[in-house]
Amino acid sequence: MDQKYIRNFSIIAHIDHGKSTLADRVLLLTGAISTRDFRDQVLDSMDLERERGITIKASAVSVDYELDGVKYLLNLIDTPGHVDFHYEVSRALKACEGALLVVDAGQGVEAQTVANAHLAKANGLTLVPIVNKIDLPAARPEDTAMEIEKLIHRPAEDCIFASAKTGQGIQEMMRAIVEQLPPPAGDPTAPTRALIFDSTYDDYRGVIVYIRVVDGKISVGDKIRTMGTGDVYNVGELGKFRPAATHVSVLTAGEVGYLVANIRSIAAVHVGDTITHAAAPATEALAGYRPPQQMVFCDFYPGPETQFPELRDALSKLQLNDAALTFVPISSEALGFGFRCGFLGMLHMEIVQERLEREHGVDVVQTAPTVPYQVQLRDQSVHEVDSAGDLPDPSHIEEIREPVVRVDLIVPSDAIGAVMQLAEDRRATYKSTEYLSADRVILAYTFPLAEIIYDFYDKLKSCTRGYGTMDYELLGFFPDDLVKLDILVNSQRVDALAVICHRTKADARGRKIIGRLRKEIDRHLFEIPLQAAIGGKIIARESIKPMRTNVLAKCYGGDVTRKRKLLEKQKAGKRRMKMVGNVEIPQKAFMAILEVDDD
Amino acid sequence: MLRGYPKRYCSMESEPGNKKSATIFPRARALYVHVPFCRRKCSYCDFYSLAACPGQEGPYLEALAADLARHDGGLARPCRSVFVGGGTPTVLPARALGGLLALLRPYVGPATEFTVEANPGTITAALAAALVEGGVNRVSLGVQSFAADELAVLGRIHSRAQARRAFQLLRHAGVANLSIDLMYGTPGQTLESWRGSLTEATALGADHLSCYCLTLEPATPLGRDCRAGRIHEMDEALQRDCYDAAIDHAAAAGLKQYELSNFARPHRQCVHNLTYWHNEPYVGVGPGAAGYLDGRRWTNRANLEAWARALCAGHAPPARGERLTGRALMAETVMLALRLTRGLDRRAFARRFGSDVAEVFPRSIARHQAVGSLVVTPGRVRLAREYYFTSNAVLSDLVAEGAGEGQGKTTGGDTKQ
Ligand SMILES: Nc1nc2c(ncn2[C@@H]2O[C@H](COP(=O)(O)OP(=O)(O)OP(=O)(O)O)[C@@H](O)[C@H]2O)c(=O)[nH]1
Ligand SMILES: C[S@@+](CC[C@H](N)C(=O)[O-])C[C@H]1O[C@@H](n2cnc3c(N)ncnc32)[C@H](O)[C@@H]1O
Ligand SMILES: C[S@@+](CC[C@H](N)C(=O)[O-])C[C@H]1O[C@@H](n2cnc3c(N)ncnc32)[C@H](O)[C@@H]1O
Ligand code: SF4
Ligand code: SF4
Ligand SMILES: [Mg+2]
Repeated sequence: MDQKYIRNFSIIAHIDHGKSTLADRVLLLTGAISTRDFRDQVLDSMDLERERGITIKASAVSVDYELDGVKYLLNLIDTPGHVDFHYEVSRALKACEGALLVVDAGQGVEAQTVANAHLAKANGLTLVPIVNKIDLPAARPEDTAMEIEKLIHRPAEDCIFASAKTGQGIQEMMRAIVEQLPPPAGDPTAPTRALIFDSTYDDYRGVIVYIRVVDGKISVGDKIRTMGTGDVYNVGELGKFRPAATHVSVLTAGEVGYLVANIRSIAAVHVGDTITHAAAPATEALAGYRPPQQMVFCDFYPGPETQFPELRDALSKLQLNDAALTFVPISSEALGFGFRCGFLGMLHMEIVQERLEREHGVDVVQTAPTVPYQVQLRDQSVHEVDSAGDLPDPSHIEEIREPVVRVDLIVPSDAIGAVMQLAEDRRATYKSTEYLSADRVILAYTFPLAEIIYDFYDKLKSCTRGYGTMDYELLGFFPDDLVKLDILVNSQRVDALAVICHRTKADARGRKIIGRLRKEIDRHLFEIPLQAAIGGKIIARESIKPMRTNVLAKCYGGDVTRKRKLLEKQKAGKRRMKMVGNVEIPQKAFMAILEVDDD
Repeated sequence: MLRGYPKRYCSMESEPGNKKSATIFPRARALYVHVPFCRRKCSYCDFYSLAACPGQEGPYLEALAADLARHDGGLARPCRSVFVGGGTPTVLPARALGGLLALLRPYVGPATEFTVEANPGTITAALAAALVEGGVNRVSLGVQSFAADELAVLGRIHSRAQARRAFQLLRHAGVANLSIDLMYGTPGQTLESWRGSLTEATALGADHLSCYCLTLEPATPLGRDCRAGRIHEMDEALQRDCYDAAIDHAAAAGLKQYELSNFARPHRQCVHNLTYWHNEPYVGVGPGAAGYLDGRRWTNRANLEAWARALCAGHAPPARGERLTGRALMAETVMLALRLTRGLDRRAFARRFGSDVAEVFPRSIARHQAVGSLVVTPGRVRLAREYYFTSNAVLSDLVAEGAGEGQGKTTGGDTKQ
């Protein structure tokens, strides 16, 4: 197809502003999906996406559209809005010339609106601003348009006022896509270059590679080479998602589709790599992606019902469809063999854990998430440490550096005082204030990542009556006065319970953790001392008294089944437990060390 | 029992002349009969029994005869033990009770332990004589407490004086083996009053003593009062003290502990209950009765009408059933045996299942041995004395390790009529 008639664009927005619902409209209007097969947010096909009502993975679809008697091919990518999946957005944008910037008219510009708009600009994309949800009684379309003007420096009048719910403004949006977005610029006659922007794994066909052809073309049967890894494959199948996978025989410059080439390991395919012809290769690869940065780490250990190899297989399978997940085998003195896993953020971690249990039937015990640290030793070597338990002996350490992020907070101006107080409690450094409108501001700060990763967002919400939103971006690693807090259960140091924290907060944190553990760990047949220590110095101690009674000592008569069932019930719910020495530590205890605030 | 031979190949030697003796499974040598009637329901009790319901004993006995007939082929004659429990068997009118005892006669031999449970409020000289006349040689008397205020809280139908008198009447009538049930954990009970009850029981000359910790069953008036906060569960530490007091007191009175809740004079251990703890087969008849035969456990639905209706129509009574195999069966065997102070006989276990118990449950056994809660010797595995009261922590680990493979398979829900 002639590139003139192709438009490639992403739909980007803050979470819940209606991207997927707008995509529904496009699919219905172009007849890509029949009203009969339709369901809301049809592109959110994962169970978890549907249950949580959010998009987790970007999806690409191709639709035909006719305007003024001319036929166009539109390739759209619906992206997730949550900050954890920012990486998905950045990949999608690389495959597009334009983006629909969607803003909820009831909410106005929010933190990920800003972040995604900047990202699209940086990638040189043309934006079509859409003010969505104008059907809402609380909608403020004009104010929202003014905020957009301020953000992207385009007159407010350029905004399209739409409702993905009622269909209002959708025709106008379609026209803008065709008329305002540039067609792809690649050269169909040049040596082939196609960008790998995503991949998934299918048990039968192997890796399914999502590509955007930039130059030249790819046909079924072609011998291709991945320029980064240098592997050669035969193209077995090409297709487009419309939205059902539909075979095609060729994909030409400007087109988006998928490729199957009997690739058995997803590790062999690097998202961001360039595909070229093996026989007539291009000389220069396309600009790829920066690999995703894992912001939080935690350990997964097999629960009592799961074996280590089962967990490994499940993680490998999951990783096939989730390139941002990393894991390496580890062994903990206290907990045995498991995996240190890296995630884009807390939501990502939660989702991976849920998918492991639901889709792969394994039972995991998870340790509290931590941010990664850099440790410089006295011998000047630098080490990445993504678990406090791995910290070398303090006498060898010159300094510990922690990740610091730039945080943009969009908050109502009357909440500035409260937000500033919150920031101060979290070791933040103030940078700037910018007024988005008369009553909304963007506050810029730097924060240690560790201070915002866990419950900061909830706190922000509560001190802004739910209006505050935030976005963050890694700036780098910076030193501070950080110490390792050890936790001893029954006199045994439990590496998975150790935390790294600021020296000034260590005492309070230690007491708090011990207090929580005392509540979370059940009484045992023996007394269990709990201690918190920095270096060799005990800073807090408590103990769990031994269980004195636990009888079902009434007479059970001959109903043995009943007695056994009762015992089983007593044991059930203990699935997610880990034995440390002779102490059963429940999953909740590992997470308890995260609770940083007094309550 | 022919020790040393695979059990399933030996037909029972003890019942010559029985027509169906060719069965490859051992016959049950214990029979339990459930009598689902009481004068009125006690406030804590969720055993299946109906309060006063004139005229039902006739149909009950008829159905009971049918239930017994169904199991005749699976029962040894005579049995080693026959246990009539409930409910309150002694609430039956004299004629009905006589009929019941007569019905059981074929299973009672000279050496059979023949127990009837009795509520002290139902005992008269005539009734005691009728029991002895009917062949009963053991009575389990549900005294629960000798303290008036506790008896009131428990909703018992008798006084302390009646309990004492009932005991003496039974003894006088010639019941050589008398057991008393007591309960601790009653709201308002003190260590003092508990010691008082223990003293009275042993002073009366009980041959056997069962001390149960009161369980607040959710579906009972007492359970509801507790949930509503009107009464409070006894403090855990006090429960424990009561338990320890029972053990000390019984020992001083010459009643040796042989099970977590049971104490007996020499040769007075309850043969019937030992069958349960040894995980040997038994037949249960009556609504709500449980049985274990041919590797299958069942519990009749606790509903007098449904049970009687099915039997009168010639059907099996509705029941929940489960067939146990493999590890689950082994776990149950250990669970039951550990209730005995002697614990589990490892050699018997190995003979029965073909492997040593420490190999079957390596994790739980090693762990509790390390903690000190299990005492493991070459011949036996048993609970350590200080851990009797917290036995569930040990047993639940074993059951959990046993679960998984060979889990009890539920065979049918209630059988429809
Ligand atoms: N009233 C109204 N509701 C809308 C409109 N568009 C979307 N919604 C609702 O807004 C909610 C979020 O819509 P989605 O389409 O899932 O939002 P999203 O931007 O894809 O969300 P993420 O993928 O999680 O970032 C849903 O409940 C939609 O039904 C609209 O135009 N009007
Ligand atoms: C286990 S007996 C113990 C009695 C007494 N402590 C003794 O030593 O004889 C107590 C109660 O258990 C119940 N019971 C015993 N065997 C049963 C069986 N096979 N099926 C149903 N219930 C049974 C009856 O309700 C009975 O009253
Ligand atoms: C089912 S009763 C039958 C005995 C007889 N009906 C009587 O109560 O006198 C058997 C014994 O179980 C015990 N028991 C009943 N309910 C109990 C409960 N909720 N908690 C502990 N023991 C209980 C009592 O000690 C009682 O004597
Ligand atoms: S004696 Fe028989 S009929 Fe009378 S109340 Fe008791 S069970 Fe019911
Ligand atoms: S404790 Fe005995 S008398 Fe009381 S209701 Fe239960 S079975 Fe009947
Ligand atoms: Mg979405």
